Amino acid sequence: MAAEPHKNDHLKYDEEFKKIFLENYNPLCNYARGFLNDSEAAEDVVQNLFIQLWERNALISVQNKEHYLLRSTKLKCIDYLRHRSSKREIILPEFPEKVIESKSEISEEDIEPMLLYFASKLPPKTREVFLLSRQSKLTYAEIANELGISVKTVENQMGRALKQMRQLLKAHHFISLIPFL
Amino acid sequence: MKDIYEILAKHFQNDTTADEEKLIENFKVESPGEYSALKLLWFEERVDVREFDPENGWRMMLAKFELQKQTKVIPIRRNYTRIASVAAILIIGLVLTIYLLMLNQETTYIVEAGPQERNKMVLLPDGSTVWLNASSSFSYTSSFQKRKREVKLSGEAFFEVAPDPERPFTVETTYSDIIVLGTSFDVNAGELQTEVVVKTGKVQVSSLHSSDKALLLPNQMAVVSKTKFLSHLNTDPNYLSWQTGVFKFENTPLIRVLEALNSYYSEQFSLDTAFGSDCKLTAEFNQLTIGQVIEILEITCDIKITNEGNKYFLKNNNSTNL
Repeated sequence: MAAEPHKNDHLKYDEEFKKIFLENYNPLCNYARGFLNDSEAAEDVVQNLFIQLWERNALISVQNKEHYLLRSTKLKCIDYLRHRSSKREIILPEFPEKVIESKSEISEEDIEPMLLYFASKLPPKTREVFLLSRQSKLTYAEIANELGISVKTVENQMGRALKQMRQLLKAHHFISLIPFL
Repeated sequence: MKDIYEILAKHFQNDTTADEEKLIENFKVESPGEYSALKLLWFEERVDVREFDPENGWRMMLAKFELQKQTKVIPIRRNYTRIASVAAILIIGLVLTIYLLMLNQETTYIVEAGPQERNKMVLLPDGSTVWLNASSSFSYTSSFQKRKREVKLSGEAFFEVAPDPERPFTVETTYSDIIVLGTSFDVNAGELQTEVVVKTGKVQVSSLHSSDKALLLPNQMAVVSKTKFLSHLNTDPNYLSWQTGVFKFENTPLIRVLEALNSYYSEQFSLDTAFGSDCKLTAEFNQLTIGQVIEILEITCDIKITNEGNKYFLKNNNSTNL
């Protein structure tokens, strides 16, 4: 009998949905803020996106959730900007075929949002080191001193940050998968 | 041996040894795309990362959700499911059976744009985007994306389809089936015929009333009705104007100009009964405000445009019924 699984599916759906929301909320808000330059609007856009996804019952079946969420958030941001300006500003989102071709192209407007998204997804320790370097522009020695760790550890964490950044780029087809020696 | 990404980080800081720099040179040759992408991100100056509280966001979202119960996307069966799931907890046996029967049905999602809603943007679960023109609607079911991506359209819409070779994207109208893998195109499914204009990629259009079909390339179009099937080059530069707000006119009679403008602006142009003009316009409008448009028309065609409510009336400049 197919009775029980269905009921469970439904409950599981809500739970799973909340889990996806909690995991992605902070990075997506940072991503949206990169486009909108406005924290409140960024939260608004991400919340509205999830409301829409919830109503549509669709998110769970999406295969590459991260990619889907990023793309949807970006489109919502574009839509938000378009409706905010009195004149209707049509910025067509870049065509996805480009992405599939795996050309190493990040468009100008994507750089800041991607970086914010990426930085907010780093593990806390790595993020701290990364931000001290890229945001506060400290040298490795200064970071080591500030955090009471060795320069070797700083190097290590920075390498880890770059590696994660590469994985993110790869996951979103900005670079093709090239094995290196 | 050090991790290449550690060295890369040092390289961006200008802090590498000669040996390490050699490794970077290799890396640049082997993965030029990766190198330039990482470099772009690394040297981005704006790194203002904020902390957004997910739990708080979740609560805000729930509150908002309660507030906007009357949404534009209407999942038709939603209320049933809700009521049924509450009832199922209370009366287990019978109600559960009914609930299951309903769950096995497909849910249809209908998205409608009212007469005043121009250019409404809708995201589909596969990442495709649809821009609906006014007074148009389209629908898809809960099985969308399982094997095929199918939507039905009445009215006009511009589709930007996310590429997915495994699952073709199909638009069904009264007269034709439109099949694509990933591309962008405009469909105007009217009462008498369906028009398809391709912007990028390839689109296959087939008639539902005959075996006619055609593979369209960018800027080609097809017109399908019950009795005809035509495919040719698109000659209307303004087929997407309702969506983009960009117009090109070349020696275009004023009345055609107005028809085109009416498809984009919520303010509508009408002709005064005594109006007559053989003015022809050659111009490009790029998302002008209605005020700018009026100014250009008045000067070029030597006419007077007056505003009554949401309508603009064209009058001859020295008309007596002013």
